[in-house]
Amino acid sequence: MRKPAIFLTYVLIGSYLLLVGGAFYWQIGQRAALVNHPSNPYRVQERRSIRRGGIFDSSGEVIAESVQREKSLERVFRGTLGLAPTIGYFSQRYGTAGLEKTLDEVLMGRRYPGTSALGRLSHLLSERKSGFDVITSLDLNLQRTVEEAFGNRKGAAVVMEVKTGRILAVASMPGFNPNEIDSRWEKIASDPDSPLYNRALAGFYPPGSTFKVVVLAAALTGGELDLTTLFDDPGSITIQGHRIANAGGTAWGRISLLDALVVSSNTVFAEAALRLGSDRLLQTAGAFGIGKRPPLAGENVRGGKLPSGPLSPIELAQLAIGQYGIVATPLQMAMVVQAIGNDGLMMEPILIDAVKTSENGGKWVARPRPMGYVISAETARKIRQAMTEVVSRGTGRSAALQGIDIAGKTGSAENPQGKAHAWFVGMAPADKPAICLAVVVEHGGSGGSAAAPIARRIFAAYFRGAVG
Amino acid sequence: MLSRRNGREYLLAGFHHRRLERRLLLLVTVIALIGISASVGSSSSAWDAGLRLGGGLSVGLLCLHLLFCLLRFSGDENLLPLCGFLCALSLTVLAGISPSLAFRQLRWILLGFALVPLGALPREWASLADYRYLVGMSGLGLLFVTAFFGVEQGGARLWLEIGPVQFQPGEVVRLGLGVFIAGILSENSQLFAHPTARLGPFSIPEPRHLTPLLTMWVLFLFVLVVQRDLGSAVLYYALFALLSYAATGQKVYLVLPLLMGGMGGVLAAWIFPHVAVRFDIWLDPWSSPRGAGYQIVQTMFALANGGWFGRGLGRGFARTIPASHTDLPLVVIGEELGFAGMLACLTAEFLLAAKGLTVSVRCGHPFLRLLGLAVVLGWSLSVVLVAGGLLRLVPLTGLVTPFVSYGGTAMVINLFSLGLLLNISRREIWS
Repeated sequence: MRKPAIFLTYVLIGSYLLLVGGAFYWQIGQRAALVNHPSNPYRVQERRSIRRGGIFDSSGEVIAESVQREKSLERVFRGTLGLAPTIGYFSQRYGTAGLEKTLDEVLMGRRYPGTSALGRLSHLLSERKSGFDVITSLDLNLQRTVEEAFGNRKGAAVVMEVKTGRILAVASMPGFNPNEIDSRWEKIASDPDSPLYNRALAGFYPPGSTFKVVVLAAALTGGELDLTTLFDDPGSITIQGHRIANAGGTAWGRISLLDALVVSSNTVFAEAALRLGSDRLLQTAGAFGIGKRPPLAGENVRGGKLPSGPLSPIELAQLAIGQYGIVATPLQMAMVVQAIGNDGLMMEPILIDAVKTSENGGKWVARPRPMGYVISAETARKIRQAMTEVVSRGTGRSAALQGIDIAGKTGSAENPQGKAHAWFVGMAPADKPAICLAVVVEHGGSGGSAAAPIARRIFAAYFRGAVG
Repeated sequence: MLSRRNGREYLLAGFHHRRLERRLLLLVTVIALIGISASVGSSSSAWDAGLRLGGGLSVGLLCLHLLFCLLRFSGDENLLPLCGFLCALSLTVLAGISPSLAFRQLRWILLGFALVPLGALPREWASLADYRYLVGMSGLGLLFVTAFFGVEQGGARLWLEIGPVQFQPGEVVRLGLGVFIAGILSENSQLFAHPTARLGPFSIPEPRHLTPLLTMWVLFLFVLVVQRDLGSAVLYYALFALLSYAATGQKVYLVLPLLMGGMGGVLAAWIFPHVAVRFDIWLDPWSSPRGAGYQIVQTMFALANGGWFGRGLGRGFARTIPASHTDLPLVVIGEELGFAGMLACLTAEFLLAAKGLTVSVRCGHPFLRLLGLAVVLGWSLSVVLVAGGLLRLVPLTGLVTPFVSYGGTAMVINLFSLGLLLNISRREIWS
């Protein structure tokens, strides 16, 4: 009996140590990975029991909030449909998206947005019943105007404050209703118009003629070309066997660079780009942030594409009219005009103004952050001057408003899917811009007729406080 | 007849006995009252339910203690408090899930307590060896009846319904099997111990002495395949192998069953998909986190949520996993009381087994010694299989965690087994 007894004792002790080791492995060793696992029901339960912070527009109007319905907390979206791809949704079944996803930790009150150690400590020690409220830079009234202007057309628009980079409106059309995510998921997710896709922050469109403002910036920065430099415009030119023609084939004859922008002459800008060379043009485009992801937090923000040089002459000429290898998002084009409007200083886009950290009014407030000078103030002023004339007497006339000077540029981006995408980028007032915007209407045809009127309504609403 | 004065002295003298047991039981009482009240408080507002549950358990334990004192019972003083502690943990877990469940469990515990003296006091249990075949056959019969006429729950046929009463014969079968194996081994251990036949380089027992081993092997496969109960199959089989080894000291009784069991298991997994599923889920639960792997994935989350000291009584979600009160009480403890609680529970089970092993080995009567070992090994194997399954050391099985899981049959049988162990631990039968 002695030998077996000793053996059994060892087996017993060994099993005990093994079990304790196993418990240690799962409870301590693997803790971090498992606790943060998205399907950990503790997190799911926490989502149910903690009142998630609300999302508000800059005036305090509710965009999304958690409401007590019978026994459970329900997320209710009160914003506009076109805002939904940006704000996203919060569903127990389908997870989170958009700002609801990006700011999840803050909205759940799990992460203290500020950096103060004391704040973080006191936050850790107190028991959370609710998350933090987030105040966005958005203006719901302006947002409504934007979406009404779109009607049932597809596309996107971004409206920014020039000085600060604050985003006042961001519409991705068509949108969806986040309150229907649970009930109509299949329909929303499989809709051929992809309403879940954020066209404003992640939609890739060739910029078309709106890219001419970047070519102009490159030309003016170099010094050898100026607004008054004269070109010969025969209506079309042939480079390496490929023909580049003006819209409608009009030959403008002897024409200045400024007038070429006003009438949006493809021939002249192709010529100008060839004189500048691909290095200079790509460098300026890169400085404007084309091809780079804008510094805005969010999983649905993308960076577009810019070809890498050196480019052949035809590639360069095509790039000059925004058609070769280049795609940009509406946010990126809004940032381009923002820099031009802000005397060359590009600002980081801001979507979150403030986070309310406690009931007694503690707040984390976002500060405008400059990204650096893209062009000189002088160059920016000249571009604005040219863009003003685009709206006053050129392709952008349908954006013009009485009593306020608007600077802008239209674009009609050819694409293999169908009719051209209609663009309008612009700012107002032209001499000292307050807001800028980028509008794209998918397959809308010409920028002047489809996109510029939308811009006009936005400017009118902003400056007159009403839809004009 | 004692005089009144002598009677009082007798009582007082009795009270001087078993001081260790009394102190440990008082500690258990405190733990039970605090733990159960805290747990009840989280699930309902009736805070006095905690006092009633904890109080009921404590009174039961103290009654047993008093009885032992009065009868000058000389059995071990650690076993009862250890069981009491585990019962307190059980009620703590159940009270958090639902107080009514805890009250039902308390009734079973108190019924089990009533059976403890029945196991602990009579000196006649040694002669149970004479009825080994009767007990063994009854156990087998019960097993077959369950396998063929039982009620299926969760894919395994483990329940028997007699009128309004549902009970799980597996626990009864385990004890019966223990009695049977202990009986034949204590009678024949001399024969077993001297292998005479040879097979190549190995000395093996004579073929006719291998009959029990082969019978057990067939039983193992039967339970595994027909009853679909991997846990019980392994438990019965390992119990038999370890007892054979303990009775004879021959390693062949460890190696041979291990090989045969392994072969049988692989064969079964190969032929029967439901056995294979168990193994697949063990190796990769993430392949179907909402299907077959659900329990194990949730277990991993719950254990991790517990961390060092747990989320606090009543603050876990493991209690919401289906069958948590029967299959996963350890997980609830691990989540709500953390690694600390898990350590406490595993340590209590370990100490219980260690103490049981000691008293069994010390016992002079061959049958009772093996019976004690059967009880202790049955508990230990259950803990290893269940906890090991939750911690993914072995495939997950639906076995009962002794004294912790919800379940009337198991609780009553285990407490009766505790009585037997106490009986074996009496000083009078050491030699």
